Amino acid sequence: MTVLSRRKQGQLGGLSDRTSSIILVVFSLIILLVVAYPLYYVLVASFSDPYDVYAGKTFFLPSQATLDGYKAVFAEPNIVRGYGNSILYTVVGTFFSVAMIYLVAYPLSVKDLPGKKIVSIFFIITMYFGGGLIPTYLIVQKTGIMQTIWAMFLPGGVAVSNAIITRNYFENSIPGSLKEAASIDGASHFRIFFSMIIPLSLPILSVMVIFSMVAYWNDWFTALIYMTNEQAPLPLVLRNILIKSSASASQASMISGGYAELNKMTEMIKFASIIVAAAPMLIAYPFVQKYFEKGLMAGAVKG
Amino acid sequence: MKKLVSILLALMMLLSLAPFATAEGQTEFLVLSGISALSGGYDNNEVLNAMQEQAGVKITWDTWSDSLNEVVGTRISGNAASQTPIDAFQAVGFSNFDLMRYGAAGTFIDLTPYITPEIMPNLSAILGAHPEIKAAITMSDGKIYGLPAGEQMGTAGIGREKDYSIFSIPQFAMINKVWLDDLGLAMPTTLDELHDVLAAFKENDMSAKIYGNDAGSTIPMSTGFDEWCWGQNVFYAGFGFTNWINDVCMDLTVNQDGVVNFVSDDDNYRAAVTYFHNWYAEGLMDLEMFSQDTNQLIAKCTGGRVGVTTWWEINEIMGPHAEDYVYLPILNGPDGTSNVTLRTGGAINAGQLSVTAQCKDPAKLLSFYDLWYIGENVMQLQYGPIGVFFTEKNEKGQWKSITDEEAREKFNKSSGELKSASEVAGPKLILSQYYNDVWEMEARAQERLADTYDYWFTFVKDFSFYPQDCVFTEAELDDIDFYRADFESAVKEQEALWIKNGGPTDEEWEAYKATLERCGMSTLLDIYQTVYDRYVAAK
Amino acid sequence: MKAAVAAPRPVQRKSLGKRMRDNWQLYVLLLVPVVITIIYKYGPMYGIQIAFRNYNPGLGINGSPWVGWKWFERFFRAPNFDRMLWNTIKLSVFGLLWGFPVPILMSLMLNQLRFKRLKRTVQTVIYAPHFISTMVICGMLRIFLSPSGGLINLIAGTQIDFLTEASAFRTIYIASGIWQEAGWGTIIYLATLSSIDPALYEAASIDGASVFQRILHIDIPCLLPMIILQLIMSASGIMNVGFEKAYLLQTDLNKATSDIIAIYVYEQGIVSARYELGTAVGLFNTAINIVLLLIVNRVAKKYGEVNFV
Repeated sequence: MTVLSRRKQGQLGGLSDRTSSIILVVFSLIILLVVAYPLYYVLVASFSDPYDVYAGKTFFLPSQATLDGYKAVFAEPNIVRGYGNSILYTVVGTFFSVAMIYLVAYPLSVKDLPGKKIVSIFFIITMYFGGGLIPTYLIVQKTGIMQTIWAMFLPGGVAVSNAIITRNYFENSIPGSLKEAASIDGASHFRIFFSMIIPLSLPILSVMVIFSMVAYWNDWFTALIYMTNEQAPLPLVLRNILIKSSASASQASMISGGYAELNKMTEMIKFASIIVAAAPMLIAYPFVQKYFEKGLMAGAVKG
Repeated sequence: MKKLVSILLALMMLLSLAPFATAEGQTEFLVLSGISALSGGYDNNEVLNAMQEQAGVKITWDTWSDSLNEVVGTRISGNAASQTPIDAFQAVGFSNFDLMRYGAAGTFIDLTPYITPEIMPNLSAILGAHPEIKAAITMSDGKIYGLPAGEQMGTAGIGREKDYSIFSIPQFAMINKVWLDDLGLAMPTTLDELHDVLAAFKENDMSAKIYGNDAGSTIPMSTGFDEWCWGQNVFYAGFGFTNWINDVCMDLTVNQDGVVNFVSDDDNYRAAVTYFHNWYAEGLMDLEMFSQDTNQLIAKCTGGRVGVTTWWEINEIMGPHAEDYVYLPILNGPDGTSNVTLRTGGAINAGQLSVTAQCKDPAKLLSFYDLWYIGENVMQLQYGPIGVFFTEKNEKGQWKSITDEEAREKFNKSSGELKSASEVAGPKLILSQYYNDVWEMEARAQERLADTYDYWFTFVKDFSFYPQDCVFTEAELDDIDFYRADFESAVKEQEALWIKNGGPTDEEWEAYKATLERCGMSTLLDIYQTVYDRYVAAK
Repeated sequence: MKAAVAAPRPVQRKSLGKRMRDNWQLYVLLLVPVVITIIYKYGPMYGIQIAFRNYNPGLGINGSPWVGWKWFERFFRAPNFDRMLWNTIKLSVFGLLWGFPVPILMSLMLNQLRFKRLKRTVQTVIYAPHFISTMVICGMLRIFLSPSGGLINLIAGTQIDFLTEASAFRTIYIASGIWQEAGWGTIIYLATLSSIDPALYEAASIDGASVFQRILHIDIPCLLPMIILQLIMSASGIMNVGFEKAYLLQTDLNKATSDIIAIYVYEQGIVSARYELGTAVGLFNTAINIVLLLIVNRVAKKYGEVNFV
């Protein structure tokens, strides 16, 4: 801090730090406002009467405030189990995904690995070509993992694009000097991987954790196809709640009536379930975010 | 003594082996079924359990209320290799195309050998008495791959002479009587008169004047665009047709001479869109009609901002203002005439129950499904058990349904919720006569049918409509598959553009007709005509 | 650092076999991912054939009749094929043009922000839209854009139904996309920026560099490889415009710009669940994507020394 405050102002031209700071803050606040307002709107809408929402009466405050949407969501007996299943799948799945990403990224980041290009292409092909739902289903059936937790992440394979990003991070953001020093010291690849690369790559590691976490947390389709009702994760439970109260203006439902009422409930639930589903992620995020901010290189080079 | 005991023991052992004795002894079945999300599940459904007991079967239900297509696709492809194969698919809604290809592949079995008086007495009787139902479920290769289902709720059920489906006229137009009276205007009888009424509504800002809403919030007329029960199509009657969405193909009509036609390239169609452009340009038709969804429409109507709209009935869409609205009659066009073309409805389909090749004892399973074809049973499958939803018989011998008050008193739910919780999806064939013989139709439906027959039908001159249960060959279905979506899309898009921007010039009209040709209009017309002729000949 | 410097090794090209044996540990690391990929990704790949057959799930893929290019022909002969193709491409390209720089600029800005609390708050808030489902966003857009009381019309004092103006569709689609995803996109860039040694900043400010110059000379070079990589990946996904958002925002009046390939495939498949057309179109998209990938990859290798493959 002391060094910075004694800097010579404007020696290389450009705006002063002070002005720049103000500009940055102003821009940040604008962005904050622009992004936050619609989020606020969803929050307000989740507490309002949906027909007032559609009439445009809820731009700032809830109208005919009601907790019915949330009540309907939490009245669902499967919610707690859904949360539990989601946490399980997310934790296990993330561990698996990140492990796979690292296992692929490191070898591919090593110069002169024979066959590196072939292996890269081998994985990249799977980004573009795929057999589709039914053949995958048949293989899942054949390998006997139906309705087990394995089905939630094995069929997804390796997240290749993430692996490539990680590979590039290893190549560019971890100084070659460190790697060379290590191999001159006689460290094996295993050693380098586990003791050096992983600890030094915390920023990208935390990013991969976040990406995986969110992907697994939001996935309802995989569970729909491969799992039983008891094994349903949260998004699937929420989806079922939504479907339960959604009456399409279909012919069959018209005869029985009550379309307007049912529709109202659906809309309320729609907004409420966003909050319910996203809240855990939004709460968990700041914890993982800490890892971005550590100046990790400081320790390594000077040591 | 010892000998007696050993004989007895042997007998007991023999008897205990009986259930496993024959390969046809399958009494436990796995059925995959679609289910309404509001339903309480089938495991504890007393009606289904009673029927299973009667037939001597035990069914394990694998129910899905979501993404049914994907699930069914995967299950069908994996069934042969599965450890626990599915014996039947229920309430999936297979199209005839699906049935034929699965039938041809041997995935679903032909049910004809089982529809006999010995195995399925009830269904055989019905098919004998109603050959048209049998024709509707027999595919073009002569086989039957699914049991019949259908809802024939119609005017015969309330004792009228002729039977027309409740869906015949889906859009009931309505107008705010209080506004009319306040301005001293008479009920319009022609489109031009309605035009003036709408202009008066707007000028006098009736929504603010009568209901105290914000100034300028009046929307003279608000509907959806080409929506089945909330579209603008009922107003086209003044030009000789009402092209509401139906389940066969858009704009398809047939007249009493049996000539099939698409109204999309007729001159009166052109006249209609040109006429209504003026209304749109003057702000008499809601600007948002092309983009709004039911939520927005209901919000506007319950808020009392709309003068004229269309919906299945008045009460639901108008909410607190329902008392102020009355039916708006069919209006004559500029040439002084009008014509309402009826909509299809009440079709029989075969997509609600199919049996797989993996089922070891189809006869046993089908004997269970035969019980669905008894009036009193299907009644309970549709609404709920006797004693819960149905209370007692009335003087005519019909079962009476529970009223809303009774339901709230006894079960703390509305009658509608009660129904939703107990209804079962599957091969339910609800014949029109059941509403006369077995149970009393629900009050709301009775009212609507009465209104349809007594009021709206007075405007209908030609009662022909294109039937929904024609059977197509595989080749015909393939062609329809190819052309229909694009054709309907092209028509709809152009209709919207003309109403918004102004009717077509002669060149634009010719270009439009050429586009429709490219979308296969002639091919579609030929197919529909051929199939119709075949249907009529078979009767 | 060790005082003694190792003696220079003789420059000698090791044989392939030797190099492979030296690196055996790396192959071990690769083992599990490769096996899983073979089973679950390559295993089902025979399913691509569906694009060339009349697929009947009852007959299985290999048992279904072969029809060659039928589905591709059907796709190319669609009445609005030209329009669909160009709309898809334009939506993607313009989306990229407008949307790509935003996360970069935002992360550069946030990185320089000195007020930790504000920085944390902004970061958390801008990620949130990513979690809102497309359905809800389109519902909100309808309300905001409504001519009868929508926020935009209220502010501008007009009465335009934006969803019926074909010219407005792309703007609505792209702008809402940026709102939804830009914040999420900053994650990867911020992570990369966090690997910069703070000593560099200190040195720079001792030399009197302004914030802007610090960004130019320190931050951007650090981000450049990642930026190029992301660019390559975006370019190779040009044809992948999803159907859900466009479908929800489409009305009959804006089809001139909103008619895209994915919606066409969806509508064709509604009647019965048919997978052939979708698979065929997928192959078509993949072909274009791969061509783009190879082009952009080569350019990036040449000028940026970053490679994807």
